[in-house]
Amino acid sequence: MNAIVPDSGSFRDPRGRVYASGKRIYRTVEKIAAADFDFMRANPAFLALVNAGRVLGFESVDRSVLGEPIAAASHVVEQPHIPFVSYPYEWTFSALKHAALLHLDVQMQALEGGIALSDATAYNIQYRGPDPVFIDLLSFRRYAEGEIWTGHRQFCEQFLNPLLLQAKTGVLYNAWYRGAQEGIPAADLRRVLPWRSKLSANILLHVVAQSALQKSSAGAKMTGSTLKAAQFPKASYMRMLQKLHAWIRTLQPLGVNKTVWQDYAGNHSYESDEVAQKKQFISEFAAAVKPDMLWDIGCNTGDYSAAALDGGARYVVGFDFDAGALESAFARARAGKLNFLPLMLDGANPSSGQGWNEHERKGLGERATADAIVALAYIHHIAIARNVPLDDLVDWLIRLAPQGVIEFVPKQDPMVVRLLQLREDIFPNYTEEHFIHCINKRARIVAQKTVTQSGRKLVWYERAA
Amino acid sequence: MSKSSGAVFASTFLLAFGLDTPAWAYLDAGSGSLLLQLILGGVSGVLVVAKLYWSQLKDFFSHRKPPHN
Repeated sequence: MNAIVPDSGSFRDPRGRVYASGKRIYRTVEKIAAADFDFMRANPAFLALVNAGRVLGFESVDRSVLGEPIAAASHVVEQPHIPFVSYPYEWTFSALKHAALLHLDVQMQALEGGIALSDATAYNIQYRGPDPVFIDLLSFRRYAEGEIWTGHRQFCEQFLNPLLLQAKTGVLYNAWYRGAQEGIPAADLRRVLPWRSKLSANILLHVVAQSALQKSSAGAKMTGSTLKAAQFPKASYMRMLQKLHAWIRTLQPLGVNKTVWQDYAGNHSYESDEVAQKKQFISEFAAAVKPDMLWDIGCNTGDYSAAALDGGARYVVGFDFDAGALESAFARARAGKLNFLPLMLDGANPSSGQGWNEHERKGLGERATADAIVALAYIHHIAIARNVPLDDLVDWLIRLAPQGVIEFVPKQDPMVVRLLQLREDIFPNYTEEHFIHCINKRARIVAQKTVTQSGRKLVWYERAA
Repeated sequence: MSKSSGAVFASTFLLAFGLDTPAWAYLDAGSGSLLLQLILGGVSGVLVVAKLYWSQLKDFFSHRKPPHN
């Protein structure tokens, strides 16, 4: 049996923790949370959320399955495994937006059933393909009449403000979010928002007023009796949630359509029947390998992710750093209900271990459980544009998965010509011969195919045991 | 009173008098969010907030000389 490992990201709430044993996921419910948990399990609103797939399901298990350290828990439940854990700073705009809307939906439905949530962290949501799901069972507790929304500040910092940053200024939130981990405070957002956006009532309320009250409450004089008299009526609470929901639905990423790759379909340097050849190669590769998890590195709008799924890949995670392409990819995944999760990630600067103990949120390497990779129209971006030595790049790719398809894009290809236009060519090793040599060091070549007149070549490798 | 000790004082009061997050909840709701919800909650909430800021409001509207520091 696999060792039981406490999840390094689950420690803030003393009401319970997540443990993993191989691919099985368990959650403890400590004694202090038992009453609320029993209430939830009998509550129709909560059960409706679980049945609708908005809240991750769970099954009670015998406490002894986790052994001695877990003995003090009141209950132990098992939950489904999430194929690839991703974090809000890796999500494209639409993914964060839909996660925000899910959170609000869960809050509103729960409130109607007499349930409140104790927090509003974006890390309570995970993606399975393009569908978000709320995973933290212990966030739910009984609603007390008149209580405020305790998660409002956190909701704003982790969902609303990053979306507003990108919607109102066009600046991507991903780098800021990845650095700060806990989102964007209202006071900081207020400083960077253009003045015209502050004319919106919603922004005045949730950004300007909230941060102004925070700052000024330092000087306010409080007395017990006045505070006790105040209540936040349930109707006002519900209205606040509804208006936030309606507002967030309208938010769109500013300027995203204008990024370089959005015209990829029209702008690429080769003919569309060559695209068809690539798709066929990938499809055949997927059919032969039947990977449970395939990574499409440099996935762009998801053309080849879709081809891999068609061929028989079970689940595809796509990585790219172009916001426009990722939005298209996410829309494609949603429209086609594909098992495809496109994420914002730069191969030359992937997410690393962060947060408490540098391990609360796991780096990409630790989540590398791919059975197969595909890296098309990719290596020239890292080897030429980012100056990573070709040997190191091929090594890194091959180490990610036992089998994969990597495309070599030669110097005479128009895309590389463009990259080298204003630079000195300092890449004597960037040749097809050397590329093949790098692959042969680590793997054998199963098949190869030249797909363009400029000499682009797909190489299917299989790693030595 | 310096700004930072004022903030600690205010938060302690909020916690002590039960308006803040319930004692066992682990999340800091933020005084800005809390006051905002009081205001949104209706007239009684607005009155509470007004009382909290009463002395500041009085100084603002009065014509008396500000107190010596």
